[in-house]
Amino acid sequence: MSLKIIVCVKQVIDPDAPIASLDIGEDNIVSSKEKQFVLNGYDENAVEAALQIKDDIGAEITVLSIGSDFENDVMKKPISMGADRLILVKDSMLRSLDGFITAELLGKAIDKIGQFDLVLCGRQASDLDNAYVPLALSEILNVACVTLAQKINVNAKGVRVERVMSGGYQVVEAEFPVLITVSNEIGNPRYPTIRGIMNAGRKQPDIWTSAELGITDDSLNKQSLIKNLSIPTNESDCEFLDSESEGELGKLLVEHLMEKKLI
Amino acid sequence: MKNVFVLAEHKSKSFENITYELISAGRSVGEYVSLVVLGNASNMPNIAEISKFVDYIYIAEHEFLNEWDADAWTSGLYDICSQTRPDLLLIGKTNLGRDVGPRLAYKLKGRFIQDCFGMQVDDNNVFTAQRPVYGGNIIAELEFEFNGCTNIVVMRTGSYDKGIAELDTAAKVENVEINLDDDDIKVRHIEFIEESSTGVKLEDASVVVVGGRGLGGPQPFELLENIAELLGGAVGASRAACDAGWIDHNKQIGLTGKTVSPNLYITVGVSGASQHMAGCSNAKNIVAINQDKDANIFKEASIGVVGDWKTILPSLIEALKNRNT
Repeated sequence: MSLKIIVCVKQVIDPDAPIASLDIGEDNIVSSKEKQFVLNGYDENAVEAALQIKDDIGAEITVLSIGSDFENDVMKKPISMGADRLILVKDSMLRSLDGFITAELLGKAIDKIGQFDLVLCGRQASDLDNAYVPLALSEILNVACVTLAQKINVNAKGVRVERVMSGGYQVVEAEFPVLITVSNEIGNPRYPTIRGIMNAGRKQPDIWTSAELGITDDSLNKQSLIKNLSIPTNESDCEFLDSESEGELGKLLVEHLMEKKLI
Repeated sequence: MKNVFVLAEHKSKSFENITYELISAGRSVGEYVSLVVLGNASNMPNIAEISKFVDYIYIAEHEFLNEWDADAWTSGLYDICSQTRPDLLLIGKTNLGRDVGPRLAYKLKGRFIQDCFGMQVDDNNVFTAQRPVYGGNIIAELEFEFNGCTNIVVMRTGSYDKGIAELDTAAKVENVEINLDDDDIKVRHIEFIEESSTGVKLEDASVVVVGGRGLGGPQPFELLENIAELLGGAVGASRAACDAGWIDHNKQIGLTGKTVSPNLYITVGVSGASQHMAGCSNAKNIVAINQDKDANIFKEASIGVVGDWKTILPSLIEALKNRNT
């Protein structure tokens, strides 16, 4: 048995980039002065989930992304981890994408890829944290939708998934084809192997345009809802405890908390 | 705006707090609030407790509408919204709401706003809402005009006061027919495994002791357990510490982990990234112990200790023990 798996990924500004390096443009597009792009962390978890399935039962893994500009090294990381194919839907019109259009484009691209058993996505992207696209995509593809996976078991007919929920986890089952969103609890993404890195060096991504997928400029111009972005200012009013000797600081803290009746 | 719809969430035949919060939000922007109650014969809540707080109640009962089934809830709500065509539907950011909201918004071709914590409507009927983006480092203001589609807003829990004034008259109640068949249900619920935890539950604890990346490994969490025990509190962790495997993921506090609101929140080696602070923004007093005096956590904390936890924690534990004797 070998599964056909599609993993949807997004390039984002490194969430660990210092706030001071973020710049909000007049068009309300955020950029980082240091150009620190990474693959969205949860999407790396989704790639890892796909690779775990490939290790267990065999799978052909296609990685799919949509955007206006890609960093080659960032986008090729899933290949260096062990994925088989990379498809980039690239168009300068796609600079400020609304989730609705992103989902529609992913749907068209998946139609073009053809038959699949599993679509895996990160639970949300660390830039907008919208958690919308995968769920809309499941509606477009008209497939079962299982969110927030911490463990995926594949059987002959479908999947058994453990879902992260408040207060515990839920176990669900669904038959193929199914779309699953993956949470960080699934495990850390593996490091690229030497062979994988060489593979990624050789392999060129397939580049598709939005026109090829039948999406015209008009629908891409759908207005974003974002009217304004602002960085909240946070004035510190922290009271620092100080002592000649670091060994006294713990005791000092306890005394201070007792004085304030916090303990 | 005339009429705001609110999706009720309920458990053990009672309405959850989030339902009252959503009504509160709905009443701040709409002339009328309509509550949509979905359920089946065995879990349907008693609407008497809530009928003084809303203008209309729509009840839809179907055997598939159990508390797990996002497929059934999405289809059922789609039926109701297609018939009644409200401008706005408010849904809580809960286990169920975070699945139902986006799917429903796509099906209804409406606008979708996630994780909203504030909303307004102006005299020209222009709707604005606020939500955090970039892990909470940036606040986005979103705006749209109503265009005949049903727009969906998923609300962050705790954003609006659940205490609401009663209305003069009780709600008008209407039963709505919805059609669900087997094809609508693609995901089967097998079981729910409750997390086992000893001691005080993290979400309920009045004192939370939290470890982050700065702890460098799993062993220091034993010290945090010690402190938590001495203070009758619970131990939590940042995502970095959980992902590193130092502590179980069910201790994760933050944007995608647990949300806590203790009286005292003691962090050790936590940098204070926005995505972590999103899980503890309701903590009343934050204490930070961190070696890096420039760490963001000191902007959030009211009491700060700059230094090495390896030196500070033993003397802190010692002092706590002496306090208790």
